[in-house]
Amino acid sequence: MANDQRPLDPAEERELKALEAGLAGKPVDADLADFAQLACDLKATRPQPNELYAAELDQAVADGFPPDWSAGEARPPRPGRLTRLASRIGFGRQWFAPVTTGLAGLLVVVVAAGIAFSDGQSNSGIDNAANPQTAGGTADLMQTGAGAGAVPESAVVERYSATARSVGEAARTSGITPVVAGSQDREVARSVRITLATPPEDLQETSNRIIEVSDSYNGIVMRSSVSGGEADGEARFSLMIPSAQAEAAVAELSSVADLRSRTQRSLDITAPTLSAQERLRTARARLVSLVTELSEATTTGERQSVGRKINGTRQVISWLTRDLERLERQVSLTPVSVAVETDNKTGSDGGWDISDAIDDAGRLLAVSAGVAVVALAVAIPIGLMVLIALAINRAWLRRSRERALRDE
Amino acid sequence: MIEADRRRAPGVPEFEQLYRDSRDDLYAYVAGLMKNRAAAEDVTALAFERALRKWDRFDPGRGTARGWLFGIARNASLDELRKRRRETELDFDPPDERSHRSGQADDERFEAVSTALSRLPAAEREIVALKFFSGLNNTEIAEATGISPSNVGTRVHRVVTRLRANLEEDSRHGK
Repeated sequence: MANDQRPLDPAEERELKALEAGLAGKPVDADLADFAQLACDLKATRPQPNELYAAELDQAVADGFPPDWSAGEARPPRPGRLTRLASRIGFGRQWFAPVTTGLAGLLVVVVAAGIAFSDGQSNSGIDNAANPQTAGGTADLMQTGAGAGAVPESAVVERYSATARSVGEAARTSGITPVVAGSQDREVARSVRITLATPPEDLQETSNRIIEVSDSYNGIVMRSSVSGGEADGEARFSLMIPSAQAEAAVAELSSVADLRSRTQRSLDITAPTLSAQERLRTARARLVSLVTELSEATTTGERQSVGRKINGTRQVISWLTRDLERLERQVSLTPVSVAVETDNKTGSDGGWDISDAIDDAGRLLAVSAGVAVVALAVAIPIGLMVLIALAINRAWLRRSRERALRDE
Repeated sequence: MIEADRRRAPGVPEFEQLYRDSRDDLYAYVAGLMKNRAAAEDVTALAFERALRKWDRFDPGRGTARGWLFGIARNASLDELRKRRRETELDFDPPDERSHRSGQADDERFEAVSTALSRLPAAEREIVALKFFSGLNNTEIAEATGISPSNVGTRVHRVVTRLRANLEEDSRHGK
């Protein structure tokens, strides 16, 4: 087709014009008469529809091509492109419904799995389903719930049962301060966060009450602060409660004011505890061995060498002891963080007013936006794939049509 | 609204005018390309049916109605050629007797032109059909085929040149 790009020379232009003139029945120069004649001859060979067919087609157009229309012989309804493609690959129409339903179901499962996987990732990848004791141990504190009129948030219980390495990793990455509660067979550290709401004028009284509750359970106030004016005051407490009494203390702290949220996290530290104990035993045994070795040493050099080993082992024993004590503290004491917030809503009659409506509207919009983002995240790749498939199909169709013309 | 009424919604009178102006031209083009009368009838009807169905999407700003219609017919024709090539060889019909009688050329001249025409490749036969059978101008041919208008004239000239060569060759061999 490279010749198509070549412009016609003047002679060829004349010949082309002669053809056009011949088609139009206009006179041409004598030397180009055969071009005009050829145009007429070609026009004369023009195929014509037969009269019966033309009449049927006229009627069909007048009727708007009714579904039962046929030219001459009965013509089955022309299937759609998708149906033709499906039948070409041996995919019958009867399979459309079940297959499309299955694909839709698969899509839902994939999306759900993706969301679940994403949630799992955001929870530090901790999986403790295989730890029934821990699960049972935390179940009681799971039953927190929020008091009447409070805004409940989901209580989060993080349970963990794995190797010492993975436990340590989880403790580092979770960012929580593990504490308390041992069960009979497992060493479980727990932490609790409580958010309370109180009218501004009751902030100080509520703070005092929290201290009282902590004292009544032999708790330790690690840190406390009360700040702000009447409209936006807040108080924060970091408590350490003996794990044996943590459950009761948390229950009482939750009732000091309106409970907004309570979150508990649990960490099974049995494995690192046992590991530390074992390493400590090993280190002590080595120390005994080294002392014996020292008593049997005959030269100054041997004594100095064994002495250095003894010093090193003692240092290891010291580290392991502190580590074990830290783990034991995590089990025996539960850190409880208490935040007391004030706002005008709480100070009002507790009814639903315009600011509540605005807050609710904001939350609703945020949720809607989140849903829209997720929907777009699913729809955009699918849409892009569909568009690409359509573009490929279109290009393929164009090429195959041109090929049909070329190969004919 | 019944199906027929829905299909004949706004703009149908204009379509019917297009149909009246183009029916024989379109059939001539399709038949010239397909070289099979039955196939040409099917494809012509199918092209008009598709055009009616898409008529509300036709945008006059993007080209002429005839160019648009012939583009639809071209796609339908090529789809039919593809299908028949897969399924069975297309049987070519002899030249139309009606058109024979309607032309000015004598029988011998008619046969010679028809024979030379049938020896052209389909792509060139298509240009002849669009230009000489259907009477489309270069712009309409460009719209129907997707080639540039400036190239249409070049192609027409090239096809005619080849056709004349075929005629001369046939003449020398006494066909």
